[in-house]
Parts: sequence; C-alpha cells; structure tokens
Amino acid sequence: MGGSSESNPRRPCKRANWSENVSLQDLRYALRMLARSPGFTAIAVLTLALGIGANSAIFSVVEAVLVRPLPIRDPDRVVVLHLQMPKINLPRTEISPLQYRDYGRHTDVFESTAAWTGRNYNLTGSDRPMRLLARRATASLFPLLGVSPVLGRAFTAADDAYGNQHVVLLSQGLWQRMFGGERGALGKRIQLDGESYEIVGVLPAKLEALYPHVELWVPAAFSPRELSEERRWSLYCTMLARLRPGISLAQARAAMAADAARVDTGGNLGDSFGIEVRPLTEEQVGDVRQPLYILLGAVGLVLLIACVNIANLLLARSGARSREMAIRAAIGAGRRRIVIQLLTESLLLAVCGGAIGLVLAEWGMSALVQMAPASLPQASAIRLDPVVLGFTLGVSLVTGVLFGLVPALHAARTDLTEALKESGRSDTGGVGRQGLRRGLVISEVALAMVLLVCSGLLLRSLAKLLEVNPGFDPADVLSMQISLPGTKYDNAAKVAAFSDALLNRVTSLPGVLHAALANQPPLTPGMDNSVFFIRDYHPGPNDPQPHDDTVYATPDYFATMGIPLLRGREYTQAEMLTRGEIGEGSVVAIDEALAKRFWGNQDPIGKGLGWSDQGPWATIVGVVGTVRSDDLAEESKGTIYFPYRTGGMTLVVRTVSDPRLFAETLREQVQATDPDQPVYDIKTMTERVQASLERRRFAAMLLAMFAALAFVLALIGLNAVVAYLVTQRTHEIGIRMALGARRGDVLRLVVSQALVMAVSGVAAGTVVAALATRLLASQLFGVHPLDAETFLIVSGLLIAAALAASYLPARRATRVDPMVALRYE
Amino acid sequence: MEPLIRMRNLEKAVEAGPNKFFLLRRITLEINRGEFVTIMGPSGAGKSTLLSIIGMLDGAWSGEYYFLEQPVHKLSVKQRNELHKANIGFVFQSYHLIDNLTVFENLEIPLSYKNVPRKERVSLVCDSLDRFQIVGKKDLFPSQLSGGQQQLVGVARAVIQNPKLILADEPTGNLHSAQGDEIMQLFKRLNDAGTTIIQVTHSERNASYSNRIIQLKDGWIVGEQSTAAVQAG
Repeated sequence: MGGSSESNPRRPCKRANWSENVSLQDLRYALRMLARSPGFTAIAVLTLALGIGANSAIFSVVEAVLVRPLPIRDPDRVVVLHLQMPKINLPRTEISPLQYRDYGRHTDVFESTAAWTGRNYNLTGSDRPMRLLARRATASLFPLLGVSPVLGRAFTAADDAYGNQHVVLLSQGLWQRMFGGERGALGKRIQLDGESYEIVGVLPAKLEALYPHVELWVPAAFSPRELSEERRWSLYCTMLARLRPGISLAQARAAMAADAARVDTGGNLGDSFGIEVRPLTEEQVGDVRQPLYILLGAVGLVLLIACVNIANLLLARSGARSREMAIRAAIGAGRRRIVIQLLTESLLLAVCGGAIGLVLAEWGMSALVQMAPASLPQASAIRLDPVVLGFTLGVSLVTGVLFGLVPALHAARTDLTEALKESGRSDTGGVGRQGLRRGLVISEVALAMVLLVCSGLLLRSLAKLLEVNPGFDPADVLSMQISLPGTKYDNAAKVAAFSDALLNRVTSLPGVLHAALANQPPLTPGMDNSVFFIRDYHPGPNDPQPHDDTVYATPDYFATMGIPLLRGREYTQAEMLTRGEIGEGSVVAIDEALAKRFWGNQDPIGKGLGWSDQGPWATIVGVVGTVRSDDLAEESKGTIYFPYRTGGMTLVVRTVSDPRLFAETLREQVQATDPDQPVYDIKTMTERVQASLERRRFAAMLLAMFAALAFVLALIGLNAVVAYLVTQRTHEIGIRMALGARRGDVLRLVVSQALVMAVSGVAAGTVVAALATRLLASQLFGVHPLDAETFLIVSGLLIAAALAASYLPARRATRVDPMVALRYE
Repeated sequence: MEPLIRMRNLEKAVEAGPNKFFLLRRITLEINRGEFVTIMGPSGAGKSTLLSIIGMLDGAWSGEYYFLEQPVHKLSVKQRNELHKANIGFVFQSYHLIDNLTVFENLEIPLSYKNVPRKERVSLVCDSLDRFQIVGKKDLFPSQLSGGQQQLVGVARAVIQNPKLILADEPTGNLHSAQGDEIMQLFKRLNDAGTTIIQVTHSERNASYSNRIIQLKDGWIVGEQSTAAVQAG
C-alpha cells in the first residue's frame, strides 16, 4: 500500500482482450457471473433448452407444413376444384374428366388448368413384381405448377393424346432406386401393368413434398369413354387451376358458382350442388392446421413455465445479489444500466439455452418425423432451416427478456441504504418479492393444469376410441392389397377366375380359417361410395338422396372379418355378380345402420335396391352388423355389400394364430396364381385399426409429453420456492421450536404454504383450462371439454404432487436446531 | 467560499404502524468546497443516514437540500442520479468492491457508468493503478487482497472519476491502525488537492484529519466545531 503519486506519470498498462464497449463489458461480466454459479447456470440452461428445443421442433413442423410456401411457382394462385353435394353427404368430392374439360373453359379466370388421377401400376421385368404408386397427369400439370424435370422433358400435348400415353416420368426417389441416378435411364423402357413405357424424364425431389410417395407419372390421356356424357359423374379427377394475374379467389368462386347453377343434375342434387374453389395450400394443410396450432400453443405454455421457473430462480439470486446492485448504484450505475446488466445475463442464459435447445430440436424433429402420421403433408420437408434458426434465436431473446425483466426491475429497485449497511446482510426478500415468487409458482401450477387437462382430455378421447367396437373382429386377420392390371384382366370373367383360383389356394392352406376378397378393407382412406335408389321409396324435396359406402366382397367376407349376421342370410358363391351391374336375381346384404335409416323397425329383407330409380333391383337377403368404415370416431352412414369381385382388391384372411406369420405364404399364393402380380400394403387388421388413430395418437402423445414436462417444471419451481421460504423462515422456525413447536407443527407450517400455492394454482388453472379446452372440442371423442372427471383427477394429481414436492424442504425445516437458528442473525 | 452543500430543515422519518420515528430532525448545515468534514455521534445518531442523503442514495426525506446550488429536493430521481454520478464518490467501511470483478474492472466500472470512452477509461484506470501503486494487483479479485488493499482500491474507485465530493463511511473501521493512518493520509492529500471530503467516524484520531466536526445525536445536530478548536480545547 502506498501513497498517491504526485507526478502521476502515464505508464503503459497493457490489458489483454479488453472489451470494445460497454455492451461487451456487460457480456463479459455476465459470462463470469454464470461461470461462477455452475449449478444455477446448468439448471437454467437445461430448463430453457428443453423449452426452446421443444418449441423449435414443433415450429419446424409448423413452418414446413403451414408456413413454408409450397415448392411451386406462385402457390397462392393455384387452386383445386371440388364438387359439393351435401344433399348426398358429399361435402367435397373430386370431379370427372368431362367436368375437368368443361371447367377448363373458364379462361376468363383461369390462366391454365390441369388434372390428375390416382393410379397404381405393377412394375414387372425385375426379380419380384413391384407395386408403384403413380399418377395420371395432364400435360398441363407441370407447367401449371412451374415444375420442370431435372432430367429429360415433361409431357407434351402429343403424349397426352389417348393412345400415345406410353411415356413415363420418374420421381427422384425411384430414379435413384432403379437406376442409381444415372442419366442413362432416359430413353429406357419399363414394363407397367404388362405394357412398355419409355422413360422421358425425372422430376425434381421438391415435388415429393407436394405429392409424397408418388413414384411414377404417366400422361392422363383420357379415353373417349372417360370423356363421354355417360361418365360425367364418374368422379375421380383432381382438378387444379392457376388463377389469372389480378383474378381473386372470390372472382374465381363467383365464376364457378354461376357455372354450377347451370348444371343440370337431374334434380337429384338440386340447388345444393356447388363447385368449390379452394387454394392448393388449404387443400394440403387444412386438416392439420388446428392440431398443429394446438401443439404449438401447448409447447409455448411449456416455455412460459420454464421462463417462470427461471424468473423465480433469478429473483432468489437477485435477493442474494442486492448488495452488488447497491454498490453499482452507489458508484454511479443508473437503474437502466443495472437492468441492462441483469438482462444481459438473462439473454446470455437464454441464448445458451437456445443453442442447446437447437441440438435437442434436431433430435426431437427427427423423432417427430419418425412418429408423424403418414398423412402429415410435407413431412419430408421438415428440417432445421434458416427460418427455424431465426425462430429459435427470436424465441431465445424474447425468453431472455421475459424471464429476466421482472427480476431485473426488482433488483434495480433495491433499497440502497439498507443494502449497503455495514452488517453486510444479504437481502432476505421483502414481502413484495416473496409475494411475487409465490405468484409465479401459482401461475406455473395453473399453466401446468391447463396442459394436463388438455392432454388428459385427448388421452381419454383416445382411450374411448380404442373402446369403440369397429363392427368387426380385427384379431388374427391379415390383409393385403392386390391390383389387377386392366390391360391383362380386361373383363370380369378373368378377374373372377383369378379371384376364385386365389381363394381356393388360400383357403386350402393349413391355419387359414376363412379368406375373402373385397374392394377395400375398413378404416382405409377413400372408401367407395355411391348414390342408390330404393324400390318404392321417393325422398321428399328436402330429403337427401340415399347414399352409402359400397363394399364389393366375396361371400366369406363376413366370416373372415367377424362381422355378425343379424337377420336373413349371407349371399352365396352362386349369387356372385358376373358383371359389375345389378340384374335379375341379384342380391345384396346391407348393414344395420342402413336398415335402421330407411326401414326403421321394419324388416328390410326382400326389399329392392338399385343404382337407377327405374331398376333393375337387387334383393336384400341379409342384414349384418355395422362396421365403422372410415373412422372409428364416425358413425357409419350405412353400407351395401355387393357379391362382386373388382380388379382392385384386398385379400383378407382369418388365421388360427399370429396372422403376420402367414404374410409370405400368402404372397407366394398370389404369385403362384399370377407370377406378375405384386401384393402391397400388407397389414393385420389390428394394425389398420391402430393406423386409423395415428393422427390422434400423435397429437395426444405429444401433448402428454409437453404436459409431463410442464408438470415436472412446475413441481421443481414449487419445490424451489418452498425451500427458499424455509430458508427465509429459519429464524422464525427456530423461535417456534424454542417455544415448544413439535416437528409435526413445523411440517404443517411449511406444507400448508405449498398447499395454498397449489390450490390457488389449480383454481386459476381450472378457469383457464375451462376456456382453453373449448379449442380442443373438435379433437375430442366421447369426452366433454369440461369433463369433470379429468379436471378432478388433474387437480388431485397436482395438489398431491405439490405436497410431495414440498415434503423435502419441510422435513429440512423440522431439523432446524433452535440454538443454531437463533444465532443465525 | 462557495458552498457545495446547503441543507435547511431536512428531516427523515420512518413509519412503523401508527408510529413515526425520526432518524434526522431539522438538519441545517452548510459545507463549502474544499472542506474536510467529520460527522460523529453515537450509534443510531443518524450519521450514515445523513451521509446517504448527502450522497443522494436516499431520496425519501423532507426539507431543502442544495448541492452546487441545485435544489436536490426538487430534482427527479434521474436528475439526482446524474448529479450524484457526476460529482460524488463513495468509500465504505466494508469496502464494497464487487466480488466478481478484478481490481482493474472495479476501477473501471464507475467510468463505464459515466459513458467514458473505452480508451479514456483504460488510460484513467492505468493512471489510477499507478497513482495508488497497485498495478501489480490489477488482475486480482477482491477476495485475493488484504483489507487495507481492498480499501485502497475502494478509495481509488471513489477518486477515479475525479469527484468534487468524497463521502466516506467509517473508512478505516475494518483496518488496523497503520493501514487506517495511510488511508487517512491519502484522504488528506486528496483534500489538499481540492476534493471536498465528508467522513463518518467514531475515531477521534481520524477526525483529527478533518477541518470541522459535526456532532449528531438522536437525529439532531447537537454541536459543530472546527478541529483546531477541538484540538486546542
């Protein structure tokens, strides 16, 4: 120690790495502060990483599915046209080739139009025939989308002429798989459904985001028959149109509404017929928008809880650091500078949390893509891109301010005189700060309650759905799809021959109890449906025309699927339709839903159904149990079972044991029947039931995960605050014990504090949850949004867990030594 | 001589339930530039409270207080902070260095609060380290210094922004006598160079370095005399 130097010479004083400005200085101090409290820093960063990571992962899905523009030119101007026939329970359908041609004439609103239809092909010529998902597309489709092949050329108008359609465009995936990405694939020929097609181009991978799993494109080349007037209502085309520049969606809708009004529908559709013009983006994501936003909201709540937790930790620290803040103020720091210093620490925590969160998001995102239902659009486009990175950074910064601001403002309001008193006592937290901390915990419990209730409702919905009787017995049934090519099986007799031969082979296999063929198994998307007529039944002017799901199945279908016969009899092999048309002596079976809808308590056996109001009529010979064909959550509209075999068929087999063990044998039987015939989509019926719930399960599972995370964070927060309050009250507890309080009294004293916070949080959470669950209503099944049982279970769980979380600090309080505590001051 | 501080009927009270306790009563005093004043009195007399008010750390009081002829009682919190930041340095009994900052950074931080440019900050801190002969300690943290060294840094920190007034609350209270003397000599030299100093102390020895002693008791000023008179008497 020495005196001051009067001469005061300026000697160089080297200072390495000195900060360039004050912000960097704050940053450096903040880094040092965090490094000196590794426990606090680790907890805070990990909490934030979980919150931010979950948000980034879900946002990456939302961004890819809802935000990112479709990978086509000017996607906002591309629309899809649907027919609307609500009177026959068809709110939105595809259109026919003839209607596509008609509507394409609206050149006043449409710059161009295009259409595609689904089509599968059997690829033969390799070791094992393969089933390929394909599309028939008009030549105008790719120019309309603004998509060019990466190799070769797109379809020309000449390719799209009927008879010239033997050219094919490969998807990027198939090109890689079949040809290893070699340019030499161009010009090669492949065998599809027994016919030779020339490969003329390869489409870009980005198209797979719009049309996932599509491997082949062939020209639509509609046949004269497809374009004939008699097929006007064969609705299987998806029509796209590009709006002219300057033409609004409303103008296009008005033009098509006028067109719809002119349509002569024969009076069956009446004035309820419409043509919907829907943006392509809406078409792609409309169904998933609400569930995704709900998930984003849920994960946002998790982050909010994480923020509240850290704000609470910071408040505790700001109490301990009040002396430092007072010194800073005493040597000239304004309130703003103190707030900035503390916010810098918060932001640094948040950015560290964000960085680790990004790693967690990358993992989470991969898991999400794996778990995502196959129907999630653009799932292949989900990735961490600059938008997601920007989101993560933004969320991190907002989070830093969110959890840092309140403690910083509190710290900046420290009573300097008190804090600088020579006792050097650290701030014990005034009544206001304790109240704030309690308030924060109450809000955490409330937020956790909201998430737990929402998650509970979704899980209960799922459980209720799993309890739903699908109307058939899925156990021990294997299903596989077979699609006979029309070129080879060009008449009903050939289809019948294949079907009968296959069923003979399969039913003779040991371990097979029953086998049947049907056009489609239940719970697969896009069930066949049609308008039908009932003999001597004339619907009123406002009544819907009878409309149903249509199943074409061989006689043993009911026994195979375990669908009970309720009345009459099953149809027989002798009653199989030889052509797909009803004729004299034709019979059908119907399900109970259809029987009740049109005959009530009367017996429908012997009544007639037909596809024309003039007949011919098929006689109803049996009533079977109702099957939930589209969705377990939806009541069946009614189903007619026709004794007929179609070219696109599903083989269903009931076995004595695990049906998956029969898959290869059954495939061999198909190949033995026709060596060029592939089978695909091999699944047990139990798997199909599960798959039909995958979207609901995905949402319920994610929400449950987030709710669990929120629950744990809230309990950590509650535990920390109770522990803090115990520390604050050590002196008081010491006095109480010195005055004769027993351990039970102290335990009650501490636990009651936690109980008050938990009950307050549950009360507040109940109110918020009652409002929030309304948003969930459309996602629920068999559970009311205000389901009392769920609310009670969640409330009980939270209160019990809160008591458990407070037990440890409470027990610590009971071990306070009065002598030590009273010396504490 | 021009007054640096003028107080008239300044009072500070705290309320506890229905009662009101006065910590300072009708304080009227004047301190001129260049003075070295000691405030003395028994514990609870209000010495530190008065020092906090003079230093503008405490704004909850009534009466009139002029600092450099500016009416502090009429200023906003922000204006008071600016006035304090520009003119006053503090030295505390417990040094109150910031534990997580090095000596260099502790000296630098008040300058950064005054928005002194980086180069100038570095230059001033280096000067200060030289002046107080603690260059070798610049990268040490407070916990690595002795009490005397810490207080030296505390004085250096108070002086670095060249304040018109230094307020010292029991500056040698935690030091042994030799270290205390050195600190007091340092204050004396600063005062000789023109800095006004107000110290709170119980120590007659420390008080002897000042020009004037103000006696407080139960919040009242009960006496005021020059040090020379005290020594003579």
